[in-house]
Amino acid sequence: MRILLVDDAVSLIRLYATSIEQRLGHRVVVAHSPREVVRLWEPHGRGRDPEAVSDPFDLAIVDLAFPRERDTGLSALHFIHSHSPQTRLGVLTQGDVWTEAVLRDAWELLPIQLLLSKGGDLDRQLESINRIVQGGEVEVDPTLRPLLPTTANTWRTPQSFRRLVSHQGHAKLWRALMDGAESPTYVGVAQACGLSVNTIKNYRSQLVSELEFHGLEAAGLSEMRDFAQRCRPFLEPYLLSR
Amino acid sequence: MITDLSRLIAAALTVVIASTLIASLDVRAEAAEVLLPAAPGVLVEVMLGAMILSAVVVGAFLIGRRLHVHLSGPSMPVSGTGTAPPLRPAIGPGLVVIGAVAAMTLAMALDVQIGVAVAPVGVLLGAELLARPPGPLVWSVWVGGVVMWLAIVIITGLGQHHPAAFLIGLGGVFGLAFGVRWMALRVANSAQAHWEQLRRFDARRRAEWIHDHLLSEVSHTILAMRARPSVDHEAVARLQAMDHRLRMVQLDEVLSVGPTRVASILQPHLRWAEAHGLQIGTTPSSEDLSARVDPTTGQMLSHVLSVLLSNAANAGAGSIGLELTVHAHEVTVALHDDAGGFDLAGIPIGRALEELQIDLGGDRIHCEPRNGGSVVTVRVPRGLLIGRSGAVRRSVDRVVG
Repeated sequence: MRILLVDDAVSLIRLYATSIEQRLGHRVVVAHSPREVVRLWEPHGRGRDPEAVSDPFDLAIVDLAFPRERDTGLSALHFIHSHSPQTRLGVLTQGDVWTEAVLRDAWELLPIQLLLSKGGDLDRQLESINRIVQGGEVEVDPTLRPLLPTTANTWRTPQSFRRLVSHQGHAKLWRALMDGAESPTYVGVAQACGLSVNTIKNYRSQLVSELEFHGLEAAGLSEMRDFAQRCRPFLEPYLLSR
Repeated sequence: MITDLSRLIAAALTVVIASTLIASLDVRAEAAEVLLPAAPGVLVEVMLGAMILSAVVVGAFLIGRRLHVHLSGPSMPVSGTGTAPPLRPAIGPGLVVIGAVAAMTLAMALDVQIGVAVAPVGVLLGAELLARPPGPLVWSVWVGGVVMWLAIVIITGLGQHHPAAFLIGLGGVFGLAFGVRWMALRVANSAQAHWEQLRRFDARRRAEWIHDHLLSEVSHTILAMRARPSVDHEAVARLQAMDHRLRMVQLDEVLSVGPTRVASILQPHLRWAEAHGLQIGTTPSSEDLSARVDPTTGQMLSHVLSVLLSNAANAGAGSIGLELTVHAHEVTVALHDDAGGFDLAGIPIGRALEELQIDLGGDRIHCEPRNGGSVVTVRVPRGLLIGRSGAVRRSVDRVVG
């Protein structure tokens, strides 16, 4: 069995890798960032995994927070799922306020089968990993359970992001928010888009009700920016098509 | 030192404004004779008024800017050690009186219009009023001062046989004083808002730093120690205690940023319970926990969870179940345990639980035996300040951040 571990905490991931290899006997490939994950599937160059296509990973366990990276673990999970749909997906997280939204997005938008809480009992975690790679199921870690919705939001799918980019103006708005400042203003966004402030306000009004399906209540520009950055991999295909 | 500097600047400003105004009169007279010999008197008065107004606006701007520095200068919130600087008067009352008398004397000596003379007084008064909350006592003192000053203006005006000086003096002092106050308050409020934004940013950054750098390291060390063949349980327990303390600090920082999701408050406590060997059964759903609570409620809720879980652990519980419901006016927490850790009638009850009972009031904690264990239900009021006396009072000054 082959397992991919993705985390920027080098010593932590080494500990997991060693434990999995020595105690479970599975092969482990490590990546330290979402960018390194992309490189694994590249046909040439350093950092590629020659077996990524011929022998897909059985399980990928990905951390959600990468403070030094533009992307979150959600991007890595999305990439892995789109390039290797048979790979089971797992998340390794501290599961606190900073990763709560990303965790919920990952849970709702991707088929996550394993949730591991950093700092939890290693023996139990190894048991869960083994059960998943053998094709079984495991219960969600109780410390992470409160962060997850109990009922599946069937409406919310990767395809539902299409409705957030109805036309080129929306695409400009999302692009400006994704690449813009931490505290976006209407004037700043309008300048970045080359549109008037009133137009930006209109676009936001058009999107507010749609964003509620994604769990954002009466989202302002700051919330929209956070959402856009978090869900970049799901929004980006529709931005490019506009 | 900053206040002294402000006073010095304000004093210098007073002199500059007064001199400018007076000089402008001479220039006006000469210029009017040379350039506008046929200009009507009204036009000259309008020009004079415009010049006075410009000088006053510049003066008010400079004082306002000084106040802005005064507000945000003493402590830099980004450093994480700053406290909100209080609004303080930039100019002392003594200087106002001295400035008023000086300007008045100057005006009388040079036979300048009263309206010109009151301009710097209005600026000074407005700047001074800025720092005064509009309480009845303060206002009465200030209005009294203004009335005294106006009395001098009126007497002087009568002495010069310029009845219009009454109105000019009245309008000048009040108009300028309130104008400057309004303008400077806007600057001050904007500085305050900016400071608040920086403070929140700083708290968020500290919380992220704890999460990204400290907690991940501690978690890793705990895991690494547990993975060793011979586990040092005491060292692991110490690290777990440190982990929990750091998470509590992180939670405090998160709460200080603003309203926080109940899930974020609950999560570190569940981790603590799990680390202490408690099997966690029922937990609230994400839907139950999606509500946000204000910082005061959040802190009390965190305290309640801490007390209940540590009591369960101390009572030797093996498994617990937690229910948490957010209502409009309160948050209800119910903890089930299999060890009977919440017998409030028993003597002695835990000290922390006893204090909690005092803090919240006895009727907010309810305990009953169930299935060999017990269930304790605590109702935490939302948006309320809870006093040590047990009395619950509504928060007037809602803590934001």
